[in-house]
Amino acid sequence: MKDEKGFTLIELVVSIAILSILAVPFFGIFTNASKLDMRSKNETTANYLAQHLVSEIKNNPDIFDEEDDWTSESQMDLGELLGEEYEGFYAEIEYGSPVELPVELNNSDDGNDGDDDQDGDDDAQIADYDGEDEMITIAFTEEGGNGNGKGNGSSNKIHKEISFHQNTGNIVVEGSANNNQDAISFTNDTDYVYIDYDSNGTITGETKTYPISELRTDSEGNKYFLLKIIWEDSDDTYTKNDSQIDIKVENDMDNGITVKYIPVYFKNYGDYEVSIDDEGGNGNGNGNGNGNGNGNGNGNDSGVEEYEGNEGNFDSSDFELRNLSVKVKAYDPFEKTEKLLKTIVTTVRVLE
Amino acid sequence: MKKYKRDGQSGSALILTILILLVLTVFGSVLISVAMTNFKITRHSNEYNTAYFLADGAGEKLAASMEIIIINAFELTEDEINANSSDYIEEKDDGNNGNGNDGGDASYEVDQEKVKDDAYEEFLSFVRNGKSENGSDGLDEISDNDLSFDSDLEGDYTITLEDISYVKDGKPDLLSIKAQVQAAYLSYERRIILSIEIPLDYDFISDEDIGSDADGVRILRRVESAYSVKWNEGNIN
Repeated sequence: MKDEKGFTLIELVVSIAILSILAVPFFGIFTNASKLDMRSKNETTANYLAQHLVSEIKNNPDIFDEEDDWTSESQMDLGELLGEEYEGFYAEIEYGSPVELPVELNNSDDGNDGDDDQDGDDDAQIADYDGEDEMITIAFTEEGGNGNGKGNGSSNKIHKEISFHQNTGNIVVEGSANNNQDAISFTNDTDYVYIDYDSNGTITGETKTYPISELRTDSEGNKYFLLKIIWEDSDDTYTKNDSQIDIKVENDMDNGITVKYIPVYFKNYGDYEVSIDDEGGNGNGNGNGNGNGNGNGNGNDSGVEEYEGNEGNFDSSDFELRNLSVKVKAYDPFEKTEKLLKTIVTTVRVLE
Repeated sequence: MKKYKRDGQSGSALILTILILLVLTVFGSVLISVAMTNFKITRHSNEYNTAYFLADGAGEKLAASMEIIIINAFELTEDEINANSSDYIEEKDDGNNGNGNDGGDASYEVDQEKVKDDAYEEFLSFVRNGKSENGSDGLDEISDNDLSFDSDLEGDYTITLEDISYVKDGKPDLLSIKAQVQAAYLSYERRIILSIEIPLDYDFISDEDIGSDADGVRILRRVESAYSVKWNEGNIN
């Protein structure tokens, strides 16, 4: 084999031995590159999944439900939810408390139908729910009307307000008014609570607390309580012609006291959502025209207007903003355990 | 015994090993480089994406705040105009025939253009500044902090509110508000531009309605389209 060239067995063995020793660190590089690639793949998938979940929530605002797995703080198995290819990925979806916006809706809405405020009607309104102190305010404004013709009559405006907090399942009735002749009462069945005011407008009655369980239930199962409003006005007779609502108006002419009951419905008392079945009884006001004489305005309001944030084409009166955090976890090849790979924090509109 | 001689052969094991290692090194370097690049792309994509959702969330807050401000502004404007309603009415006929006899209903005329102009200016002012007496805030009262999140998100982020502009189209029928929120997360900044166009559609009663059978003076009436607000969310980078 004089002219044959090549490697002897010994050379090959030696080569392989040296290579084996020196190649160990290089295999580490390959391994790490592989792990890095796997992590990239997992992070990309986690990113996609987090976006997908946020999009689902944004596009389906009614997905918000405390009983639903989508909103629980426990881990969701995305493999089960979205398919085998996402096995090993888990998500945590957390809603924060309702977002406190830097501005608040004015409480000056009159509950009218938007046409006219100056028609002598008796209005009721629902103020905005204030998520911060978990308080709902219902205010009633009675406004005297304008006279006929060019009358810009001054109205006898009486403002009554009842606030109630829903903490630990109780309704706490408080009251305020800008007229010391007013009193506001709350009634559950036959029990009334009167909140009286002294001449300075200070509450002299005590604040009462009622459990939500004592709310009345109508034939359709809706929860409500009766709000009893008393005001002094010995001159007028109040009638209510709307048979669809449960409002009684009494006028004790002897004492000059008028009593009105208004059912206040709780559509979802767990979420502090309230509506008033009717926006008020009758109003009566006198207006003195500055040109053509005097006139009396008297009428009933019709319709109900809830004013809970937005209306008209904003079309978001049933929504609220919530902070949303979506976290997706998956196996991390470096740490050899589950690791948080993607967090999205944003704000979404969800159904209340 | 004849000694075996390897003619033309010399020890090549080291060279062979070095060559193979060189090849492996090149392959390894390329592989790790590709993996690192891929990882960086993923990371940046995630940060970019996170910044977008921060901006998007801030945009939602801003949009909701703007909606409330606009609703408040309509209310305030209506109150303001109604309070000064007599300024816009001119009596054309007092209804008397001059002899002390009733000559029929009086007639009036409403200066609708003036109402419209004034209402627009009032509305714009209320959108911008609110009305402190009512405790209403305007857009100018919104700050960056109002739009931020209380979050345990890893890494620093900031939310900034910029460029609230009011565009008057030369007629008091349309108000455009543009506002931009910018969220910076780590090395990325994303911007959301909100554009709200508000048709100011006022409905005035005709002169006849201010006649003797009027319930009251109705100068300005809000109509449904006054609440018609479109808002667009855009991402420019």
